[in-house]
Amino acid sequence: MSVGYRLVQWNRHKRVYDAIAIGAVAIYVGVFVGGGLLLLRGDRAVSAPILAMRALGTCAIVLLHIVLCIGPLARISPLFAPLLYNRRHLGVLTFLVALLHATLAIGFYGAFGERNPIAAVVNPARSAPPYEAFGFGALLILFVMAATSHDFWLKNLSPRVWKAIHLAVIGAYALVVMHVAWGALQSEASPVYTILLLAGAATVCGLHLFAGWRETLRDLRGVRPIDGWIDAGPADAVTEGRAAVVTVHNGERIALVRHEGRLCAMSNVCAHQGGPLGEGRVIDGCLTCPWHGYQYGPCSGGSPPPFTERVPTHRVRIENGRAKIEAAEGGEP
Amino acid sequence: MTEPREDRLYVGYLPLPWGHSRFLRVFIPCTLWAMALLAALMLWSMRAPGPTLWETGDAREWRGVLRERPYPLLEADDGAAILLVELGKRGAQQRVAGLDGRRVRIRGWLLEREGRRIVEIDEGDSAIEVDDAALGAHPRPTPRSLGTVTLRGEIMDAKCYLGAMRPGDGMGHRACAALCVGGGIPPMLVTRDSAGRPSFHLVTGAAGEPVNAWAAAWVGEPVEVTGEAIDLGGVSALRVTPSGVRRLGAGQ
Ligand code: FES
Repeated sequence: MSVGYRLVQWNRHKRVYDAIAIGAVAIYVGVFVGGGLLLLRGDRAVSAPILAMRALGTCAIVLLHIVLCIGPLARISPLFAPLLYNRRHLGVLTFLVALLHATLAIGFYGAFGERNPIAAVVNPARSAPPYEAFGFGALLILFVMAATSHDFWLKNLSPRVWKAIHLAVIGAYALVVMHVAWGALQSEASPVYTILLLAGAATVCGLHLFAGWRETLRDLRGVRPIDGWIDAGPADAVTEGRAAVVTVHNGERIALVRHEGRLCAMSNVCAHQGGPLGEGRVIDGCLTCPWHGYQYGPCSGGSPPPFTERVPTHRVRIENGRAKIEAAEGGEP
Repeated sequence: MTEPREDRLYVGYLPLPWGHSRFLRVFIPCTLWAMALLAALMLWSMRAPGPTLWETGDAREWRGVLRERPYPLLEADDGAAILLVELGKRGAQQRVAGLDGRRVRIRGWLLEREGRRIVEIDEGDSAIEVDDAALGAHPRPTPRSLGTVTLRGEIMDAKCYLGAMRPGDGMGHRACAALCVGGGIPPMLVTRDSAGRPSFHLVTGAAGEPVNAWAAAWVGEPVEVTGEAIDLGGVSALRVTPSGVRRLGAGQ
């Protein structure tokens, strides 16, 4: 990737991020299991493996909600960008916690019997909906996502295929909701779980709708090209080293950037995972993506060697103090 | 590289901008606290598994007359009817085969809930010792029909529900219950009256035969069972055909 030569600093952020995420899991599971063993006594006592199974299952669901909220939050405010930067690690952690939950369920509920433990749990003789299989399906999706989360796969599968695979998280989320609705909610008496599940779904959906709605509004205000040229506003609105996002009426977005006094334009869509380049700025002579730091020559659209990423560029000219961008891609800047 | 303070662009491999670090210093602790509170709330909202007992430590001995069918059971000398199972998720059918009606001494561990008892038999041949010489010395009392009844409750695997797991019922435990019942643990319909007092009924086929194979499909959820109630002497049983079992939605 474009920042390979900065591996050490990149690693420090990654380590802090991972430490906080693992710490959060430890706090959650610790409060759940520790509190359960200490406080639930007599009629309320719960077998320790079941306590751990529930702690891990609910923890994975909480993590999945956080993972799903980070995207829209980062679109709403750049303050959330540090959470987005390493989101895939949070996704892998979610898979690992869910895997532990499933392993405990299979080991405790499925073992000591006459059948294969996995088959016994995933496909019990039954009459009601197979909520166990829903959970297993969600786990498989999380596994595929975790296994392909590395940039190696992103590159080899092409960002488009990779993105499609990783959109499957929506399917995993739906399966998790079904797993809970036809599982735990069937036998727990307290309304707390139903309320939490609905609140979680409302938060995830609400944030996505809100972020999408803001972007749609922006698209609606998109500029119509006249004679193939888009009016991007006063040229001096973009200051040195900064960029701006210009929305065209067809929903396309273009990043307008000023570097060494000169205005250049390129696609707003980062070649890595589609981050908004126009919300980045120039660092070390390159327009830097605000999501994971991929870099592009402000006027060439190409990543500095040895990297080979490239985004399409647009020609820019200044007319009566206003910046005009050619709607067609590829012209010499 | 030094950046002006108001600079808000975060780049993962550069030092955290001031505004981001100020925000994260509040946001991260809040998230951690929220997670701890969520864990506590979910823990505290869990339903109580109920009063069960599972004796551990040294195995104890019981004496009485053994019954093979519908499910292995000891008519103990103190008058109690005690179900018998193996370690793990297996019934004791094989081990008690041929001992119907014999006086035996059984060594194992007691599980008990609300007056209903089950013994997990110890491993090894010496765990069941025949006390009498004569075969058929203790004929089975004639089962007494109590008429056709329709009952609502849940079909449990008797071992987990009476104490092997807490909780040993409900949808979360379904796979385990299906494995247990399928493995020979007696299926037992548990109903509760409006005051929450339980009654326990072994589920058998229309001719009083064991029905582990199909009963395993009905565990873990509320059901309505119609069948003939039978007093087996200390234990109640329901003679049911599969068509006599009906799913109820949650909460019914
Ligand atoms: S660097 Fe990842 S989307 Fe731009």
